[in-house]
Amino acid sequence: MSPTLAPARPARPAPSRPEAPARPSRPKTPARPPRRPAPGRKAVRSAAARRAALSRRVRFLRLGLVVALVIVAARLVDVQVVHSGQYQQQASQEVTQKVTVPALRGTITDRNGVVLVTSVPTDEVIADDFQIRHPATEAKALAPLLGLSAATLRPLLSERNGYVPLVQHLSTARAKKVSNLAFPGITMMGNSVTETPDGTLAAPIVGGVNAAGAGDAGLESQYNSRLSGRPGQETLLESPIGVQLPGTSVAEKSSPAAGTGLQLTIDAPLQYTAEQDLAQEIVASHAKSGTAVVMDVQTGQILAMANLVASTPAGSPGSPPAGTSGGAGNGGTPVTIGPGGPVQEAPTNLAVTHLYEPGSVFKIVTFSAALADGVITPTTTYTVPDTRTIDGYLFHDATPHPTQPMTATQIIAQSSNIGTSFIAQGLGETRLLAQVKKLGFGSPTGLHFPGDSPGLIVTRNQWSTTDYVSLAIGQTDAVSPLQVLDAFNAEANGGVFVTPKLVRATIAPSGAVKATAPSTTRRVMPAPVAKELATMMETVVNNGTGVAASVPGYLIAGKTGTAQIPYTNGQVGYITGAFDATFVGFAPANHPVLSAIVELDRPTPIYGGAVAAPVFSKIMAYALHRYDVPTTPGLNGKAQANVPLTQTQLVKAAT
Amino acid sequence: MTATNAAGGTARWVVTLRRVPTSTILVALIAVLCVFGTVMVGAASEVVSIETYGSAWSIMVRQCMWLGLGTAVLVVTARMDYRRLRRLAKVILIVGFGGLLLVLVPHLAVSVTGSSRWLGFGSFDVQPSEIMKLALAIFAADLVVRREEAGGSERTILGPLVLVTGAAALLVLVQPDMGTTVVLGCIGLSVLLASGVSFRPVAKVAGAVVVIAVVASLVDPYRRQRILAFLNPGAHASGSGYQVAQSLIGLGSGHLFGVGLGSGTEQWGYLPNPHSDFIFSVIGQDLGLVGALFVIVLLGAMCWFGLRAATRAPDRFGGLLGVALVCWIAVETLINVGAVIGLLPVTGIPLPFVSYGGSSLVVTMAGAGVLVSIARHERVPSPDRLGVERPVRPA
Repeated sequence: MSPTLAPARPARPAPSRPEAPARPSRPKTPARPPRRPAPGRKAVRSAAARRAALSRRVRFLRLGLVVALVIVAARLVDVQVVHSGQYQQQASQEVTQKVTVPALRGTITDRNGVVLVTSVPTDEVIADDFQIRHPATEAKALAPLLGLSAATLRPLLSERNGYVPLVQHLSTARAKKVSNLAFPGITMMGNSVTETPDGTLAAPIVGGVNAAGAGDAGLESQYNSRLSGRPGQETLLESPIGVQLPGTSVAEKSSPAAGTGLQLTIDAPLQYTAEQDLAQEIVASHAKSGTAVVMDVQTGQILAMANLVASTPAGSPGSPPAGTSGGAGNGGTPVTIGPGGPVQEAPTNLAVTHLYEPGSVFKIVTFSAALADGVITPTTTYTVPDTRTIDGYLFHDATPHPTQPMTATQIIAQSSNIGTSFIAQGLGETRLLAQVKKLGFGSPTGLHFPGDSPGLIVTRNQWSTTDYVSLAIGQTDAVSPLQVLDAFNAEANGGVFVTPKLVRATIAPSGAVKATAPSTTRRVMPAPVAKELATMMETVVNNGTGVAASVPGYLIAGKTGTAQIPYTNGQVGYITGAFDATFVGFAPANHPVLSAIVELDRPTPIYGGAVAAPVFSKIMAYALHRYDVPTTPGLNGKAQANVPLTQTQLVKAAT
Repeated sequence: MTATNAAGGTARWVVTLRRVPTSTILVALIAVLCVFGTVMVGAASEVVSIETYGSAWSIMVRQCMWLGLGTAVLVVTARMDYRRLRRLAKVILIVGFGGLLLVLVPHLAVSVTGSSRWLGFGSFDVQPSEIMKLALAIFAADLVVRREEAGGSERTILGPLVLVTGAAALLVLVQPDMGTTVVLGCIGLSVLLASGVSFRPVAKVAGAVVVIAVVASLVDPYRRQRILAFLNPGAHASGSGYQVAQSLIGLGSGHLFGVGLGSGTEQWGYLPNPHSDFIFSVIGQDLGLVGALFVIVLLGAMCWFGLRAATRAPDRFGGLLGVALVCWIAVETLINVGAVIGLLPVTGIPLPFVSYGGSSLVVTMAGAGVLVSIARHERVPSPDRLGVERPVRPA
């Protein structure tokens, strides 16, 4: 065992142990003392014996030591060689972090490429203050680049935290300067910021992106999968506290692919005008909210879609406006839309999410069906009283009048509820309900916009006789403003219903523009009926309830609507003094190019002809000129109605 | 173990090695271990050092300072005649016991992760249990020699030795510090064994110690957790077994030649105490099997030649003390490495000369110095007298 104490004599065989007495060749070995003198405990041994005992025990210890070290070595070979692969895998697994590299979101532009929202790459600056040696001098150097004061920066650089985000979005140009400083412990992470060059313009349409970078409203949500692109993936080696290990390279598994952009059908200048005109009317009429939509008649493309809410809650509904002159005369300075202004962009796209009982604009259902079925012609005459009782319920026209003969055209021009109920009765409930559906009410608009509601319409089972009045005049059925516009657009389009459209094309990251499929169409009324109906609705603007909608030089057809607002809290009946005012129409009436709807929630005055029609007029005037729509021959640049009218005349005409 | 040449004789290098003074070999081994250890502490402590002190080098600088102090202590103890320690045996023992009692006084001791092991003097922490190791070794060796000279029976040796060792071990056990308890027990046991008393009482004492150790391990939840984690590391991989799991990952991923000095990932917060208790795992990851075996061979050689110094000691006290000191180093090495390689429970014992250890390093250096002092007085067997175990110089 022992090289130290074993005999060193050459020519001897393997060294022997002293305690191996069987060995023969030990001439010089003196008689070894007994190993265990019995009774050993009391024996007083010689120094030599003690030394020998020590040596023996040391051999024993050496044996133990060697055995233990051999076990250790064997275990090391087992761990470091035999099972090394398994441990290597575990080691790389625990330090390997897969990091998602977000892709830049696609840009949303208007129909002419005006950017509504875009993503700009930025860098997030993070400090690992454990590695920062000179907080004071580094803070001074970084401050101007980060746009922070050195005084605020300094404590951040000596926080003893290890991960201190300094700036969330730094322009890539500045980030490059920061990284050129090469301060240890200052790292940068790719980020991006959303920019809207036109502020909040069309915000309810565009929607928004949540903190995680996913679209959570509007088109951003609807087209999220295409806008968001494909995030890339990187593999880094990180410590448990998330610090990238030094000297390790970043293995990029896949590079991010930027999102596909959207080119909308929206026309930004028209959108701006629509928002401004609507905003002014909301302010002037103290309305709660409002929506205005302009549509290209043939293609169904939505050129403007304004959705606004008043910043402060409108005064109690029906209360007289304080010194207002109405929207018509209110022009000039633009209204601030957004924070601090009197009007805000609506949280949702009211044109598709705001369900309301549309009122008289719904008479299009009765009249289009009656004309198509030959129940009426424009000149069919009814004797119309101003009230009518059905099943104990009393119905009346908007203003009292003596019982008088009225043609169908006059009924729609004056928006007579009683007259309309006679026509509806002539049509019958089956035909009436079928026409509601045919015109698109009760079905999704086809935009697939988030929150797009099909509305609530009366079914056969829910039908009652009073619906000859209430349904025909636009009560009971809840619809969205866009559904109303779609129905009128079909009338303008010669009876062909066009599915509305907000996205004109998609734009690949390469810049390749791919037009979206054209909108589907379907005929909902015969072409001559549409033409007849359009002519009848010209009279609404000529001398009916919608004179304020007229645009000099263009023949306008349309319909006003003023509807009570039912309780939404389960209470039966209508909120006293609360009305929805609508004007929907198209121009030029004889050869329609554009259709539009303006709807205001709880305005004062309450009438569609008084508050919505003037907004329609302003928006439509701008749009017709913007698209160089030829004026109507014969009008010689004058309005079909005698405008401008005073507010009092307007209200009188509208009622 | 003896190397032989083709002719059947002892190999020349073995003969040569026998003639090299043991003190020279020991000093060389200590120097290599300390330098290697300091380099490894530097490599393993970067991250912990930045986290604790804000600089990657702080811990290594501290280690160098401790090493400087340790070297000074080594020089003093190696140059002085170890026999003078006999007179100091009782004083050192009293100091050791005093320190152990002070540690148990609340508010006086520095408590780290639930253990009160340290006494603080300013920025200077000392573990009295470290001093106790040296004190016990000197006391035990002295006791045996004194009783033998007085012609006392084995019982007169056994009694006080077991009593003093037991008392010291008990005081350390309540800190709680299981590892040092075992080291102290082994020091006492080694002196007993080396003194040549019959195996039976030694076996009885050893058996009793094992029984007490097992009972002590199981009654204390802190230790029970560690033992359970040791027996079934997989089930405790995120808790108590986490350290061992990480330690093995470090070792295993080092393979034959390691990932490179300072390039290991375990020190990045995965492995606890990478520069002290688990430095062997960092060595295994950075330098592979080669590095790990290098340390094992060096420490093994240290023990081997320490025992040679003991057997060559001119007097009985030196021999017994040498064995005790070697046993101290050997047991600490085995407990530390055993825990790192997952064969023994984790107890928090540093790897001698290599781990960052502060006062522990200094006391280890003091013990090593005494061993060198014994070696300096060795009596090299003359070639014609080799082969027998008897005094080199007739008494």
